[in-house]
Amino acid sequence: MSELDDLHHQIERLLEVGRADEARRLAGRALALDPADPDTLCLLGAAAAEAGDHDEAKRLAHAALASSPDHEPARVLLFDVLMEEKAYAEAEAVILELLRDNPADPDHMAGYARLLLRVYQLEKARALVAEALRHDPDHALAQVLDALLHVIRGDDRLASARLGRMIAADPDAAHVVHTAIVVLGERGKHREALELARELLRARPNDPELVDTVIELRLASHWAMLPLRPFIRGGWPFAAVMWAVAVFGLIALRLFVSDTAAVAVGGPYFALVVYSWTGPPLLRRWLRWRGF
Amino acid sequence: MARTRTELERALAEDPFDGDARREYARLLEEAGDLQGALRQWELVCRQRPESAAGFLGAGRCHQALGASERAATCVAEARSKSDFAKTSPPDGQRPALQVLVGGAGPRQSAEVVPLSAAAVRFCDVVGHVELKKTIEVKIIAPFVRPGLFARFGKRAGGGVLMYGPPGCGKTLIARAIASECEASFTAVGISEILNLWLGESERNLAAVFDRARQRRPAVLFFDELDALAFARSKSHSDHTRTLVNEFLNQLDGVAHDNQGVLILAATNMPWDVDPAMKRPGRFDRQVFVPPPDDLARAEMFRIKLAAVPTAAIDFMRLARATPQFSGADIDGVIEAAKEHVIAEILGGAPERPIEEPDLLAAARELQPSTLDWLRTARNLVKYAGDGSYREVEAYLKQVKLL
Repeated sequence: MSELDDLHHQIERLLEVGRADEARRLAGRALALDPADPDTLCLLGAAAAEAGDHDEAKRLAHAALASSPDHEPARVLLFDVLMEEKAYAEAEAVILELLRDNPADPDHMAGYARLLLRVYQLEKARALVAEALRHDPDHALAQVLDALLHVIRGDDRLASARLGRMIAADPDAAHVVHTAIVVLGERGKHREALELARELLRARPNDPELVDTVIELRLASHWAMLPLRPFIRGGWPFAAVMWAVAVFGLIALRLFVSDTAAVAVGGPYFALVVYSWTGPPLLRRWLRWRGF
Repeated sequence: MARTRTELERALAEDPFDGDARREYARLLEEAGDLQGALRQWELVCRQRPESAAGFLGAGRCHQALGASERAATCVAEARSKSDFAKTSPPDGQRPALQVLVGGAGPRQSAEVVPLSAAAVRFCDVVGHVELKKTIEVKIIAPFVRPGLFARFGKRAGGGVLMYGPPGCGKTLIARAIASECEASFTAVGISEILNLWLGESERNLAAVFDRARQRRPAVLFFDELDALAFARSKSHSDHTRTLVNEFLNQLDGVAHDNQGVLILAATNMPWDVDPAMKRPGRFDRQVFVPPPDDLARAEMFRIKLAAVPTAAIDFMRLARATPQFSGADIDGVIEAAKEHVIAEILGGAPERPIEEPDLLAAARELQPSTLDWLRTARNLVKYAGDGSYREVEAYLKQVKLL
């Protein structure tokens, strides 16, 4: 085992535990041993990407590819960085090339499916996920994407079935918990989703998106949101129907009842409308400020 | 200004073909006694700048120190043929032999055993943290130095203590002080001493560290950056992490091993990344929050750190109040910034003067405490995650009005 291999292993390990700065420092040592080593350049790029320096990550991925044009980790790194930058056309070119070289690789299939999901090519994404799962039934990313695609399609039963399989295989894994939060939230089980999200936040308190998710779930499961629950559950179609019923119903009501009775019925409805506009944002601000 | 090793490594990472940085790095390694490393660097300098004698001279010096006289002679002969040979100094064979012996940043070092000496850090050397020191003395040190008394009450010495808190607030210093107060041998373990590419080797290294500590009872075993070694298995992607954490748990468990008389200390900036199983009873069941220094401690730090610097009359308490949540490292930053400001003024033609309070206050206003990021992250835990195991953090955040 060379010193360089040992350093690579330590850098990978540091990246896994989220210590990008230390990984970069160690990568500097590795580069000092061999400035053109594509593995080192690629790991340094991954450290830069972890630290949010996408330009540097891309530069290093290209440097690694200049040194070794077929270097797969460098191509995967480039794909990941382009995805982060939302440069989907360029990312697609990279992943297609990877798939051309390794047509049966479930990692690349799932990666491409992730891209297609981002650009709403759902049917193609579904086909790729199915193919990835055929090659590797336990592939983590493919399973997550499969569950998300079922949720998007509105097929709760299949999403739950996929989630059940994931929980049975690895109940503690973060990606499984993430999927569970999405599936439970979609099924209207906000309280259960909130408990899971808080559990996940205990392990990742520095994730701002997760903090937002927790606040949203707390908002959805708060008692003050009870009057709006039918709207949350029913979504836009329910709100449209309610609006139509209220407008035409109140007009029709005036023909048969007194003004006082119409106000008695219309007043609460009007209050509900005002509350639906002002209540959630105010409550969200309160929860963010006060905590829970 | 000479760059540090880290700065040079970073510079080389950014531009591996920066010849000046590589030469400086090679010289630094040579001075640190890492001759193999320095030789590799000088050889790279030779390849990158074949027209210069410096690389060949450096390689010659390293070969000579490593006992390869013939290679050294070849290098010197090569250097002589370069046009700039006269400008650089020839390899001085009179370099002290100590240079070869000290340092030696080889690829892997065994865990560092630091013998206790008269100069060891004691609790009185740790500035501030008054309450914390009291708690540690009662809960950690007393059972260790008076095991008889505690045995009568059914309490055992040893076990695990996890210190957590923002970076730069003295966790490592406190660990060293604990070891001194316990009058035990102190073994500091870092990630590089444990991790190995080969399957099973990291676990073996970890077991060896524990075995060595058990042989040296009473002993204090200190794991810095515990989160890197005991990373939460639910978040890891590799089996390597899982097996290492399993081995760690196995070593900590009193059932499999007798850890009586071995105090296992650990420090981490990211307690949420540590595997939850590590925090269960019998393992790192005592968790201690090391907060940023309070006003009194910061005032004392300013006083100590400015003792050897020319200063006018300074109200240290006012300085401390102007630097809330600043860590010891941040205070160093404030002092350095003030020094730079005064020196720049003097170099600009102003009369020579000592550092004054306004210089330090201005420097403090320009700097952000490095602990803030950590405290904001911890606030998420307390505020939204409902994690009851961070009560001390919650109390601190309330005290400094961050919650």
